[in-house]
Amino acid sequence: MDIIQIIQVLVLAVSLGCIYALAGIGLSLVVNATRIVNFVHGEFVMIGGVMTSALYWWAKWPLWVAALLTISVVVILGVGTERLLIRPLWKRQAAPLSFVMMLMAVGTFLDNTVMLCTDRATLSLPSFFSKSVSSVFMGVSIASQAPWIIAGTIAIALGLSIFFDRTLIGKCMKACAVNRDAAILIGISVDRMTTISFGLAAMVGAIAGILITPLTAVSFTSSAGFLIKGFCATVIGGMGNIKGALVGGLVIGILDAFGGCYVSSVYKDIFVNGFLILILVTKPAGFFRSVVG
Amino acid sequence: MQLGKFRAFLIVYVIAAIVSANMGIWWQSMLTFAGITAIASLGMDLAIGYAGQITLAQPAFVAIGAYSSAILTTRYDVHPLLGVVVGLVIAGLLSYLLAFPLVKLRGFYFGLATLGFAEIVSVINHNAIPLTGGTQGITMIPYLSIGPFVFDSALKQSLLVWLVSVFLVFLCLRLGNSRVGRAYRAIRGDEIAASVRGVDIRAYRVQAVVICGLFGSLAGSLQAHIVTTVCPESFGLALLIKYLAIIIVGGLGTFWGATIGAVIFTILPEILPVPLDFNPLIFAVMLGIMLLYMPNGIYGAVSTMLRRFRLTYIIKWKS
Repeated sequence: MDIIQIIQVLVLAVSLGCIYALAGIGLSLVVNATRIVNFVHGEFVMIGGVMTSALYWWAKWPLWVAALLTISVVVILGVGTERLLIRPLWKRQAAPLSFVMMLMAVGTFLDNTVMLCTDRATLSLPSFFSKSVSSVFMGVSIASQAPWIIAGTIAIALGLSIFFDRTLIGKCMKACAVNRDAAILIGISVDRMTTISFGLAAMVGAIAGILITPLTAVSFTSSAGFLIKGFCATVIGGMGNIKGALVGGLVIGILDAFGGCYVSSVYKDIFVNGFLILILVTKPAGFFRSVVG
Repeated sequence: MQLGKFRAFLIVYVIAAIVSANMGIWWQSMLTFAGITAIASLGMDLAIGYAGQITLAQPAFVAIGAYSSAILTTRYDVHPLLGVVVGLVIAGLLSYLLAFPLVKLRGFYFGLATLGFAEIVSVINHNAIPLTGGTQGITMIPYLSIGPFVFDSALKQSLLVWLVSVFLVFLCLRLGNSRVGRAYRAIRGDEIAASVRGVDIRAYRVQAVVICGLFGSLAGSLQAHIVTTVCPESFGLALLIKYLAIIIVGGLGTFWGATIGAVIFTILPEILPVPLDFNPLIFAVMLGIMLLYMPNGIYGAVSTMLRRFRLTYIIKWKS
């Protein structure tokens, strides 16, 4: 096990971890506003990657145009899901069971639609940095996409923390998370906050999907993996805690990368899922203070 | 044993038997598959609909039953019935080990944990080639047999499967009327209130999930011996959506609803002029529509209608 190889796997781990952290942040956003675990989040990430790839390869659009359009479409999907499907159940004060089933139905619908549209293809994108998949940096061969992923994640995390701490809407959303009834009493439109949170989560998810596609190809089957790994990151970091989700994502990324490279690439999903069950059994509250109970 | 209840099952079974005997191979195999799906869906109905535990691992338990039966009967020449029993034991054990540490979790978290477990089983099915045959699966599984009587024809299989299925519905309805059933309904309604009244939340929650797993394993074993092949593709998330759609469309918590839903969702893909790939899409759309507009399912809607038109004597007579 030479040091060069370990560094390479570490860079991969950090890259994957950033993506999982983004997925976890998206989940946290929705949980903060509504206490619903958004089962469709994996599909947001997956569609972000698949649609951008499809537009880039098959419609021959420039990468940035494809990315922007994809993000818009995914945000519309997220907001549409909340308005048309979640809102009626919410008004009816349905049990969590109904939300889970509705979200799973939407998720399957999206998965299947993508499967039919892409004809079951697995898609990938070229790296944003250079034409080659990996470049050599100080003797270490790392994926060219890695700096973009890390930079993108840091940018989003910073942007979100500024959003929540400095802007009025962000503070309103935090208020919703802390105490929903008090927020209503103050006059915050909780419905609108819910919609915004879904839209924001969709945007973060789509960006995560676009960032990871050059690194690992995505297909219609990737959504469940993103959901579970993002959920893992959120659980480790404490539900609703954004900085915690970052740490959680890194942990999962390390587990994924090192497990895949050094133990078995075929069974690496078992490690992550098993770790999820282990965490839920031992410390479901996470290691950081969670915003939502 | 109330005579009224028993009559309903006899009638349903007789109808299924008559249809099987007179309507040809297509109906027989349709009814067989509907019956198998009904058994698995019944388990979900009990755990999710009646006891309120969001368990999403049913495809994994169906796979466990199917693969256990397949491996034991093809590689070790075990008698099919013994294979079924071993599958039940394995599924029961695994579901207990899965549920017991996780029962303290609330709905969403429990559901995602079971989903994680289902993914683990799916990965093993796809990749553990020496054990499960990988993506090729296992073939040449022998038919079920009890003594000299072999269930080789579609007719015999459909009669057997429906006997088991109707009997299990009967069992579930009896369970619903017992102390266990009342405990489940209490837990589903309000856990804190139930525990205040002395209901052992943990034990009943685990029990519900274990029973669901057992039903699933039974369905899987039956499927293995009737289709005579198992492959990992058939035990994925699409199956989960099918089960969820069945219990919602049929009626959450009403055990006959699972059977009705299973029949609908087995026959519907066959008569719709769309290719098989569209199936999960259609199931998902039906699930969503039912959740929004008819949350009590078909059974709930029919019984509400009967009650409204004061035709309750039909309900009393049937169940």
